[in-house]
Amino acid sequence: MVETCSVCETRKPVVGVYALTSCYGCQLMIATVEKILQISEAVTFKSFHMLTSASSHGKVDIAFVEGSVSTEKDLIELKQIREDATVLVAIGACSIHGGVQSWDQGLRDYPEMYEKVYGNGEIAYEGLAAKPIDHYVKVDHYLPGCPPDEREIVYFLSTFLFGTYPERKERPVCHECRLAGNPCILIEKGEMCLGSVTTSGCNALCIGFGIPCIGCRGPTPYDTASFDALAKEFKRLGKTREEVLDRLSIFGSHDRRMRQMVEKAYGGEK
Amino acid sequence: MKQVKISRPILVDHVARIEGKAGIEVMVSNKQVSSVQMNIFEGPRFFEAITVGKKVEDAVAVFPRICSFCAAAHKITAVEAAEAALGVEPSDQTKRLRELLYIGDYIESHALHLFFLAFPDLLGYHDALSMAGDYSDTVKAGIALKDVGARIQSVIGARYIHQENLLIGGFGKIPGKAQMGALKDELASLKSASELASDILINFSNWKELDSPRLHLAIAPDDGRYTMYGSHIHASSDTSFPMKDYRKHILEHVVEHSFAKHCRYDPGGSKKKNEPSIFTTGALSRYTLNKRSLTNRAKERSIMNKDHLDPSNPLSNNFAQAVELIHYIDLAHNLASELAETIDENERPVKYDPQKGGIGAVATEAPRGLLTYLLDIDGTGRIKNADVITPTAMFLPMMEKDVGRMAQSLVDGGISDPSIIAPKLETVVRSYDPCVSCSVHVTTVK
Repeated sequence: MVETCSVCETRKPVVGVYALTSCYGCQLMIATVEKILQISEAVTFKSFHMLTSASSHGKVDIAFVEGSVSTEKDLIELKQIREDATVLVAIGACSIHGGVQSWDQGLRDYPEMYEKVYGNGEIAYEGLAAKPIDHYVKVDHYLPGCPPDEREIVYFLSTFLFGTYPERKERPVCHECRLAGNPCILIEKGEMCLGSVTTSGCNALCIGFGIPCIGCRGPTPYDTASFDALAKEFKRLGKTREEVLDRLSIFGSHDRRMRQMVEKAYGGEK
Repeated sequence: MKQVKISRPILVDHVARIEGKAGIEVMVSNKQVSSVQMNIFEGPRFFEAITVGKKVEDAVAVFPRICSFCAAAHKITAVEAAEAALGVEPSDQTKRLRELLYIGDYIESHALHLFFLAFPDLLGYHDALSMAGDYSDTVKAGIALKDVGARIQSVIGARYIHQENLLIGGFGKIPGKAQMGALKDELASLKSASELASDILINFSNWKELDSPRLHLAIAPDDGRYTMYGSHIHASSDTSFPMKDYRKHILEHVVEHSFAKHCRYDPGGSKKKNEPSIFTTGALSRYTLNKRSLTNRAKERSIMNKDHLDPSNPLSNNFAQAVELIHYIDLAHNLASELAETIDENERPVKYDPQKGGIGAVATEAPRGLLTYLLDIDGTGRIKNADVITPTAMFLPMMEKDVGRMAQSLVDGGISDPSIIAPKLETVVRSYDPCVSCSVHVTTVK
């Protein structure tokens, strides 16, 4: 069942904005959308520490959670938020995909990385690996991006206000990129662009600036990302397996299919 | 009779209206403040570790994710450290565009801090939104300033948080003359709004309890221009060092109670007479050391209000940010005007060979203070070693001292109710404009 805010049509919804471990950019986006004054009239912010000292714990109709679970305290807070919230929205790359702090997750195993990077054993790393929040709790809606797009934040809030729910973006960035009329920088310039496996919603902003997509909105949902086809193309362009895994892991390290599909494209070669 | 020692903590679980998640814990025993801790609860994110072994281009795309408030500062400083390592010299136009982008970050960050985070304290509100009814013009000016800062960053950097358009060697796409012209006009219309922050602050005196001389560090302007760039870092103790040698002079160490490291300044030089000491950095330090180089409008405003800019009081940092808002609106207007005439949209990024490798160390002034990056790049174009020190890690020990000073003077004055003391301590913390996400970019957990 898709969670909606059933009370939102009859009274001001109570909203909480929470952060686990992150750069606070998602909160900053919410706090600075151009319509923030109108939004603050349409909803009641029960908890929004970055913006208001009148923040408290307790029941909310809609919870926006940014950040990955990177500490025990994060996990305790997350479980409490889930209990308190009718609708829980995971916002941003950390919350949905584990964020850039997960870059090394699943790419190298810990003992190998530990030895390779730290050698002398000074940094104890285990137990703090960042995880997306749906690893621990049920998430009702996903608002991706690093940072999320301002228009999408307003869209999410608007749907809840009218008792409906936001549709998840399912198509890849390439779809919007073609519509925007950009030349394809993968095919025409051989750049390592991740647009074909990345969730759309940004109107292919970076490619419009001539910059290859690094996948900040995460892999397309429902196991639809064709990592193998893209990896084959990168291989044909002479990119190494490691290069490809590194690039895809910045925002996609927790995707359970990604690594395997890249390995397949590279035929197990190192 | 046996003396019973009474210890009483003053606790703030979660300081509101700052960037990140931190608490304050002050222990008072027998009417003496016995310990002060800024407890930093955000998890570590290991940026210096996860970038090791990665291609330098990927690494500089990830570093700005350390912080959203000063993403541009992180991006520019990381990119310039990579350029220093690889011997890349960007064009003059690239440098000017980066400076304008960086100024956009300052305007946005200072406007947010002053209008949204600090002013509600002074004016007696929980937040800027509830202030909007009574102080409509003030809040609107704050939003307009924040918006122009964001717009500058979006025009040059593609967006105002995590600007992907900024590359080693130049830009993916260069904004057009018309976009620069629009920025110029918008900036010109905000000159008087930029004075509003200091208008508000003039009505509030610094808390004398916090007066205490302190050591300031800031980048020295090379060519008499008050910006975020310069080749040397100077201190209020009349010492200085080349910014590329920062690792010899700014020493980091781990403390038990937080995921953030603390810093000390070692001036080096003759014998051991100068022990490493705690210091502060940020708008107040820049103002204190570089005020001669402000624009006339900013200078005038500061000369009239010296009491609000006392280098011995941390609350002066708010006024120093307000002065910088005026200064940077002026500077941004000048730069945008110049670029609107001269900008060459077809300039391509400088070509470079990442496999050349090398070590680059760069310091810039982020909105909150000194920010340093050292990148060691190997012969395959990958990061061999990375070191980042953020402003919050530098001023954290000084901030704890000031929180202790404030708590002690309130206790001395007979105030014992933690619910009265705690908000005052939060105000002290907020005046530093700390950036908690920045401070926990890396940690050494034993």
